[in-house]
Amino acid sequence: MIIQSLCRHYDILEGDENADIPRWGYSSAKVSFALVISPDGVLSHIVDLRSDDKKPIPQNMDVPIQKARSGISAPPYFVCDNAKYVFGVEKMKRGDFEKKFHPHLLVDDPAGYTILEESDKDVTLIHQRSRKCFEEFRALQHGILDGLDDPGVRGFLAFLDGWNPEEFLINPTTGQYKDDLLAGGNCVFECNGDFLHRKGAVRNAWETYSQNEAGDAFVAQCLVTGEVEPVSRVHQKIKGVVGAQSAGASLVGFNNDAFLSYGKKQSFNSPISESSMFKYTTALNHLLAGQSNRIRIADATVVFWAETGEKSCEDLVRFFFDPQEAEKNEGHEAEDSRIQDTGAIKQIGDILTKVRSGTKINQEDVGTDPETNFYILGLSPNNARLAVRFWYVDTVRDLIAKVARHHLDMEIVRDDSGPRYVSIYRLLNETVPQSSDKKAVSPLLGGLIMRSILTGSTYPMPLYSAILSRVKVEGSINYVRAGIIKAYLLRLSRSGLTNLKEEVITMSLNEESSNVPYRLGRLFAVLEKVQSDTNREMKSTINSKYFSSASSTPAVVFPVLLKLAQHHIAKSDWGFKSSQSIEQILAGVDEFPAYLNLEDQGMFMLGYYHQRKAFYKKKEAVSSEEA
Amino acid sequence: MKIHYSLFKEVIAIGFGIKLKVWGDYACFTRPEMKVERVSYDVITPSAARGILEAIYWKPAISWKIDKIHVLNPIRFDNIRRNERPGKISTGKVKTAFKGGDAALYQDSTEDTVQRASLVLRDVCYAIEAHFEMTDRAGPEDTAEKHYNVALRRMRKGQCFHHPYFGCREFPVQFELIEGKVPASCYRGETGGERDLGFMLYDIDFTDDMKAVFFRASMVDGVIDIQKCLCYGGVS
Repeated sequence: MIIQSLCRHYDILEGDENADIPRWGYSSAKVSFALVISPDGVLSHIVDLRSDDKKPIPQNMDVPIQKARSGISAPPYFVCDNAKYVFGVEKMKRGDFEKKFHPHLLVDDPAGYTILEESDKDVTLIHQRSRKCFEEFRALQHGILDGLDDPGVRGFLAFLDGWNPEEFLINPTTGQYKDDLLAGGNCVFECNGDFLHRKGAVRNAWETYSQNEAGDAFVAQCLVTGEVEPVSRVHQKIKGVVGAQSAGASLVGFNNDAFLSYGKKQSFNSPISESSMFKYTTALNHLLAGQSNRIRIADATVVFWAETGEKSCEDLVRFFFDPQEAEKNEGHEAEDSRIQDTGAIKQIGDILTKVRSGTKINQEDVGTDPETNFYILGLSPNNARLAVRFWYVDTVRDLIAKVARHHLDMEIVRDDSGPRYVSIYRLLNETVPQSSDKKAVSPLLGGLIMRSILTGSTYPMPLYSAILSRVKVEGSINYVRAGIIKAYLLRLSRSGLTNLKEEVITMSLNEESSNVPYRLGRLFAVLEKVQSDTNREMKSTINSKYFSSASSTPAVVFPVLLKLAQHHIAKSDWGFKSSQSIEQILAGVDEFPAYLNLEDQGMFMLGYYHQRKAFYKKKEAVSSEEA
Repeated sequence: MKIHYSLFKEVIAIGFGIKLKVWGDYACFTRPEMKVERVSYDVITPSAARGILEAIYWKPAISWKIDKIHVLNPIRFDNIRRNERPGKISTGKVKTAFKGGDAALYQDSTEDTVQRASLVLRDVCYAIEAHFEMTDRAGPEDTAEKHYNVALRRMRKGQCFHHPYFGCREFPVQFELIEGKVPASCYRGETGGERDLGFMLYDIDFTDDMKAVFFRASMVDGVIDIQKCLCYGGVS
C-alpha cells in the first residue's frame, strides 16, 4: 500500500527526465565545500558551494549513497564526506572534550589525542577515532578506485596518501576555512576540472562495488515486489517531516524488543528488498524536499502525489487544500503570480460549478486523466519514528469532486477580506483561542477533518463543538466559523442524523426560515444593533454579556433583552424600524425555548451571522447611493 | 525460490469445508513493515483467519486451510492511539523465577509506557471459507468426520478455546456458522471487477526458520480466493 505506491512513484519519476531524483546507489546530500585537488595530489584551493545568504545553505548534490550511520565505528562514505573523515580532524565543545578525554580514562594511552588548537569554548583535535575515520575513508577510496586509469583519480588518491591530519591548521588552504570545514558540512572533490563524484569512470566503479557488496546479504521474499531478494537491514531516514529529528526519522524501524517477532532482528521483521527500500525512501524524501507536494495540517506533514508524471493535478489539489499561500503572494508579489492565481481560482470555480450541478469532471478540468490514482499520506513524528496519520487512495476525479464538495458546503456569505477558499490549516486554527500563544490544535482533529473531506462524510463532532465554544467565549463569529457550522449542519442533515432540513441551512440570510433557533439568532443580532445604534461607545454590550446564555438558554435571556431594547428603541431615531423588524422576526416564534441543543445553537449562530451580514450589506448600498 | 510447498498443497477434498461469518467493531491486521506505528492491511489475512478458526477448534491432528475470504463490509479505516509497552519480560528473568530465584515478572505500566498511533479497520465483517487437512500427527482414532463434526458443533454453539480476535486482543471477534449461502459482499458488481490488494502476508512458515511468506491478494467481486491466488503465481 504505502510503500508499494511510493516505489511505483519512484519508477515514474525515474522515467521522467525532468524529475531530479537520485538513481539507485546514489542519494542527495547537502554539500558545503568542493576541495580542488591538482593532478599531483596537492589541495590547491577550496570552493565554498554554499549560498550567499546570511545563514549559508549548502547545495544539494547527487552523490554516492550515504546510508544512515551511527555509533563510533561508523563506516565512511565514498568521495563525499565531512571533515572528520576527509581530514581526520574533529572539533568539539570543551565540555564534551573533557567528558570524553578525562585524564583517568586515558591511563593506558596518554597520547590518545593531539590538540591542534583550543579556546575556552572549543577544542580542535585529532584523536584515535578521528584518525581511524580518516584511515578508513582513505582505505575505502583506494578499495574502489585502485586500478582506475584516470589522472584526476590518481591525484585524489595521491592527496589522501600524502595527507597528514597534523597539517590541518598549518596548511594554508585548510587553515583558511578551518571553522567552516569543521562545522560538519560535507566536502566533495574536484579533480582535473570535474567533480570526482560525477566522473563516469568513478560512477562505474561505485556501481560495480555496491552491487558486489549486496551479494552476501540476508535473502528473503520482499513484501513489495514478491521477489526473493537481498533484504535491507536498516532503512534510509526520511527527512523533512515537521517536528521529527533533523537527521531524519524512519518510517520502518524496529528499535524496541516489543516490535520483534520470532526472534528476528531489525528490519528482517519486515522483509523489504534493498532496491524497494531505496525506491520508497528516495521517492518519499523527494516528495518531502520540494514545496509542491507537501502541506502541513496541524502537527501532521501531508504529502500527496498522483500516479503520473504530469504535475497539473497535484498543483490543483494543493491549491484546493492550501489556497491561502497563493493569495498571500497575490498581495505583494509581481503581476505574473496574480494572473496565475486568478487562473487557479477560476479553475476551482469552474470545478465547483460542475460539482454543484452534478456534472462529471473530465480531463480538461484537471489536466490529467481523471482515472489516475491519487495518494495522500499524513505523517507525524514520534521520536525517531514516523507514524502514519492517514492514508487515502482515490482517483483524481473522485478526490477533486470530494474536496470541491467540501468547499461548496463551507460556502457562506462573506465580505471581501480574507481568502475565498479556506485552507484546512486556517480551519483548524479557528478551534483554538486566537489570543493564546500556544496554538496547539488537537492532534487527532487534523486527521478527522481530512477523513471527512476525503470520504464526504459528516464532519467530526469535536470540530463543531470546539467552534461553538469559541464563538460563545469570544462572542464573535467570522465567515470561517460560520462556514464550518453551516457545513457541519448541512452534512449532518444530508446523512439524516438530525431533524434539521437541508433547505433551512442556507448560504445567506433566509427571512422565510421558520426555524426557531435561527430566528432567535437573527433577533439577537437585531437587538445588538438596536443597542449600538443608540449608544455607540459602550464597554459592555449585550453581546459580551448575553451571547453565550442567549444561544443556550433563550427563555432566560430574551425577555430581559427585549425589555432592555424598549429603552434603546425609545431613544433611537430609527426606533420604529427596529421594533418593526423585531416584530417580523418574532412572528414565527410562539415561545422562547428553555434550552437549545448543540445543533440548535449552531442554527442560532448562523442566524446571528446572516443577520449581521445582511445589515452590513444594506449599509453599504446606502452609502454608495449617497455618494 | 525455495518455498515449502507443504504450505500450498493442492486442495484435495473440500468436502469438509466450513463457512464462518466473523464480524467486529475494530480490526488491525498489522502490516509487517508498519508494525510499530501500526497500519492495518485492507482485509483480514489468511493467517489471522486461521487464528480465528484455531481459537474455536484445533487439535494436533488437523491443520486449517483458508480457501476464500468474502469481504462483506466496505473497507474503512480509523485512527486510534493506545498506550503500549516498548519492552518484553526477558526470558532470563522467567528462567530465574522458574528456578525459584527472585525476579520481578511484570511490566510496570507507569514506568514503561509509550503512546502509539494505529491505523485500524472499522466495522469489519468477513465470511471465511476453510477446510482442514489431517496432519501426520493424526492417530488411528482421528477421522476427518469426527473433527469436522466437533468443529461444526462448537461453531454452532459459539464455543471457543480462547476468544478469537481481529489482530489485536482488544478487538474481539463475533462469529456465527453460515449453513446456507454466504451473504453478498458490498463489493459485488463493483466497477472494474478485480481489485489488486498488493502483496499480503500469507503465513509464517514455521518449518523454515519462521520465514514470512507473502502472496498477491486479488479481490474479485469482494471475494479473495486464496487458493487461486496461491496457484496463479501469487507466491514467487
